[in-house]
Amino acid sequence: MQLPFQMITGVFSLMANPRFALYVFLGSVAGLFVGAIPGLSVSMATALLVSITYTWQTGDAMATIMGVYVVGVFSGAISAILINIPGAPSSVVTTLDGYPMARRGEAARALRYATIYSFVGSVFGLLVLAVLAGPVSAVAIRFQPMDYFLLSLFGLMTVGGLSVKSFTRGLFSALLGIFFSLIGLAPILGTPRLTFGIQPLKAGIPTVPALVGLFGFAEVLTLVAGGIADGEVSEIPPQKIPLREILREFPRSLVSCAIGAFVGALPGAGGPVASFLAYGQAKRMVANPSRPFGEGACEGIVASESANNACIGGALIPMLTLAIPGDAVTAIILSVFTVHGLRPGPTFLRTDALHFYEVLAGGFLGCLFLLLLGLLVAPRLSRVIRVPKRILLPIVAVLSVIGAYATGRRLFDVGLMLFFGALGFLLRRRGFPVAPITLGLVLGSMMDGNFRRALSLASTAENPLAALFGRPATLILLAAILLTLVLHLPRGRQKAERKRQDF
Amino acid sequence: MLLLAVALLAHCLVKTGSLRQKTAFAMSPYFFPVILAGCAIFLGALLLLSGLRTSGEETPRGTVRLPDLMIILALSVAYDALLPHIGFLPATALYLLLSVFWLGERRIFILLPVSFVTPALLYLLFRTGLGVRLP
Repeated sequence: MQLPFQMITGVFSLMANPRFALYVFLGSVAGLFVGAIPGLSVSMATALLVSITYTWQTGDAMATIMGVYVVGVFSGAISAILINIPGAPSSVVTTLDGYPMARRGEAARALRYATIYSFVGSVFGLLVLAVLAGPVSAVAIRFQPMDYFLLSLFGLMTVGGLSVKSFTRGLFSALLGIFFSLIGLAPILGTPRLTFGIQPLKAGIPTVPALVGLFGFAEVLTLVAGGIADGEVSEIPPQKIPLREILREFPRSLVSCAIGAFVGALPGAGGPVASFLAYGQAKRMVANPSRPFGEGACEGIVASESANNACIGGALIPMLTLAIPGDAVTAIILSVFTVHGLRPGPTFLRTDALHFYEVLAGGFLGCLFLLLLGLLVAPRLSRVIRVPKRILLPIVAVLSVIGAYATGRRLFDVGLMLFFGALGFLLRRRGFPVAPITLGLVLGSMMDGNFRRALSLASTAENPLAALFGRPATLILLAAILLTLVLHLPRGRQKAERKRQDF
Repeated sequence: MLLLAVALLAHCLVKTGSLRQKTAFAMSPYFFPVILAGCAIFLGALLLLSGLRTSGEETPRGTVRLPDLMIILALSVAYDALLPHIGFLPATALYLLLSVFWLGERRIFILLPVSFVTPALLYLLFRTGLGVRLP
């Protein structure tokens, strides 16, 4: 386990470094705009950053990306409140109460609640990361190949989420992602696999163009196909909002933070699931909300924003200790680590403690800038988010081309980006989620490798079945997978969906 | 989706059979893809059945502006094709001019600056400022 004193001094010394702080600030400003403007997304920005920061020092790259991540997740609430269009998937629930508040002339109040409780959630999540990363690593270091395989499988099974239909579709998307990850030269034998005779595919499908296509260009196509109407932006009349009134929600927000951090730590789940669950919990917990939920209750914004920001720290736990992403953005951040020669996993905290401190320091500084930018700048962003989509979308397409080209410097990668963009668009139109493809892409080759190693080890054991499934950790993971399957069976889901209809 | 999964399974099985190296099936490169293809067929069948069951209750998915979509996609493909021949700046300016115009912007004082100033700014930012190689 990380010695607390070493960790605290390491993190604080980085936070006090002006260069480090500057990079976090730049990332935070980028995250503020990217998250607030519908059509741009944190996932897209992070995917572009993989290419942009390729030649940077690792610390500078970490600082920038953490700034974008922390502030970007919060700033999705800005457009959710002002124009009823969430800037990020995790801000969907914020629209339910944020926009009604804005329509009543309380936009400034709604933004203030979103800012402060996003800050609370982010800090909570990062503290959970700091405390739990060590113990999780200590457990993970004993994992065998079959355990890693089952953990990845469990992670992919949690992506479907909320209904039988979406569970099946989510799994299908994840399988698609795994297939794409297997394209290239097969390990051990070195023979081309699933390349269909296309020479450049022998190098495999690079992650960055695929991610930029799925999150950047696909979004462009979706918005073009759906019409270019721009949302009506609510004005923000100046308001005095006593801090004491806002902090009254602090004790209840801790419950939402805990939900967010837990859900974030589940590989495959993410901000949307966390904010949905926290909102449902708040509805059950709060006997007398300021207004009915869904009609401008500040308690709704508190629950949603606390949870989706606490998810950040939670999602980083499996990413750093197990190399299994907690959500789409951490899947992309994993690529950043790989590009810089780092290997997250059970030994990461021991061998790369400095980079772990960089993630924490970047996150905490991002929280501070979130508070600053959220209180001072966010209320003035209403003009910026009015940029007409007919101008914004082609620029986003050009940025996607740059992002796809920058790492590999192959125009073939730009073509791949266009392909994945079209694929992402088609899948969304047919109701298939896109985030599981990302997870499948990132986890697929690891699953393949671990699966083969597990079989190889078992083939030399006296009792192959016992060697494969005889360990407690393996049995627990198997049980978790079976439980997830059972919970998503039609009969089980009908009961859960009846409950959820109250929401 | 189901047909795609079946086609992939067939491809994997054929490839496994044709591998020259004598290797146990479990260790062949197509073992995992075969399992995945099998799972995909199962899931595809589930989705097909669920789709047939609820086919009378389809929720409307909203209209698609197909001409806009096809034009933007075609322009993007053409942009990718032009990049190695005329370079980043001219190709990007042309792409922006045509896309922004097609999507509805007609004001010359917005169209021209967006089309010609944006590529220059992007070049300065990425190439000169961030050191990122451009197409």
